Amino acid sequence: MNRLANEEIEIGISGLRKLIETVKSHYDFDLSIYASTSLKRRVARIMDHNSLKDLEALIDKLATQKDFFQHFKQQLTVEGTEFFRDPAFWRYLRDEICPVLARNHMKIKIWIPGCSSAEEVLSTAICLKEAGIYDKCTITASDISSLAVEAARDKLYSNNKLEISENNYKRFQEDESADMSKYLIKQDKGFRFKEDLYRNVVFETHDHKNMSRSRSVNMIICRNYFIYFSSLFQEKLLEIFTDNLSLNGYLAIGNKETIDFCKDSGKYSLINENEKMYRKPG
Amino acid sequence: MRYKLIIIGGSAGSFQLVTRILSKLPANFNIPVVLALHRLKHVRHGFVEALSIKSVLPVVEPHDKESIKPGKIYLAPANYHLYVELAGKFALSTEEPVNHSRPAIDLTFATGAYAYKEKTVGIILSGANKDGALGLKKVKDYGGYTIVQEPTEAQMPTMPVAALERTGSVDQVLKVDEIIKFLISLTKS
Repeated sequence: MNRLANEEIEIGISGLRKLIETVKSHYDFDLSIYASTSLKRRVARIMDHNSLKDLEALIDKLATQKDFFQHFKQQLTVEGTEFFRDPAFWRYLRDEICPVLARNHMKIKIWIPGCSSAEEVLSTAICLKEAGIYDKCTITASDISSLAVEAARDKLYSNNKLEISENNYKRFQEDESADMSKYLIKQDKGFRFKEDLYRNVVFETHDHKNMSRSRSVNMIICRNYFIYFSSLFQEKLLEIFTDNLSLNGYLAIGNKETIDFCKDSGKYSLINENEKMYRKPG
Repeated sequence: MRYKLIIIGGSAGSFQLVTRILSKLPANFNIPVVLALHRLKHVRHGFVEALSIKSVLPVVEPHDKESIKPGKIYLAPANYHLYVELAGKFALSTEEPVNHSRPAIDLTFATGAYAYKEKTVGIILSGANKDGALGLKKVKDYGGYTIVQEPTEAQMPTMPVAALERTGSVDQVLKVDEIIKFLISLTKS
């Protein structure tokens, strides 16, 4: 068991403040937008991975080694632990939402912000394939870390994600004999997804200060991304999404996330409460 | 009132205990109760409903950044870690499981203890693993009140025993009926 699991690394408020200031002044990157508990846990994890004995050592490394910041950003992102998390969501997406999108659009643009290691991206790609609309779609997958984004393309996933993902897939299909293997290339050290699923996926980096690009997308899939940010930045994120979503566009968030606390929530209607699917009215 | 947050952790063998506790808490019980219970990660529905049947107070699964309010019972949702933030709000996380668990009892206890310090009550019930032991120690370290279910009464004593060992000395080792009496006494004092 690592030190993190034992919670032996304690990070105080003053130390955290100093870290935030250092990263802000050296890299113009704002850590204060993150929710504090998970930020502290990520920072403790980064210290653990890099064998840094205390927060001072991390701050010093950030202040003196420019290259390290890229790794810091990569390790700050939270890796998904499974494919097809919440199978009922994916079934709803494939069976209810995809047909509507296909009916209304010749070209369908989907944005997955905070894609991290692309678990949601690949689950989406498979859904689109199975709905028979993959060829009409472009998926833009973005994250803050260029290293994470590069790694996400053609990533080798650890086998400890396989069993849970395969079980999720069976639940998604509502069929015990359903087999996700047809999408996979299984290797000794893990598994990859077939190249065909990546064909219409564009990976790119985004910057928290400049996420808005008038993308005019038809759907934003952003499940369990809001949770990592402060209430203040959640507010900002939703504004960005509102700007980037086309009329009648869909917004999917995690089943225990809500936009109710944000000013822009009035601009959306909740069309599926269990799966937290919102629509921006036309 | 001395305490502002009660956190109850449990796993195998704890469901009936929690149900019994909730059935005895009166409508005017005004300290928020957070339940960090191990549960099937892929079953999102049904647990709140099952706990609600006998509970006088409303049982809810909190949303991310929801404010913690008295008069409510909060259940950690399936497949998320439940954190307590300094601002008296909940936060959720999908970070990797801890002690093979998500929700991990340790994390709800540790963050709750950090946020509410000596105003926290931590209670560990029956369970077949050691999750919660470190969390209860954190409650003690921050000056909170620690209770462990009498291991001989627990269907699965592993969790209470681990919590006792890790914490060193807890404030009380009680049977569930005594835990109920203790909780009810809190709002009267």
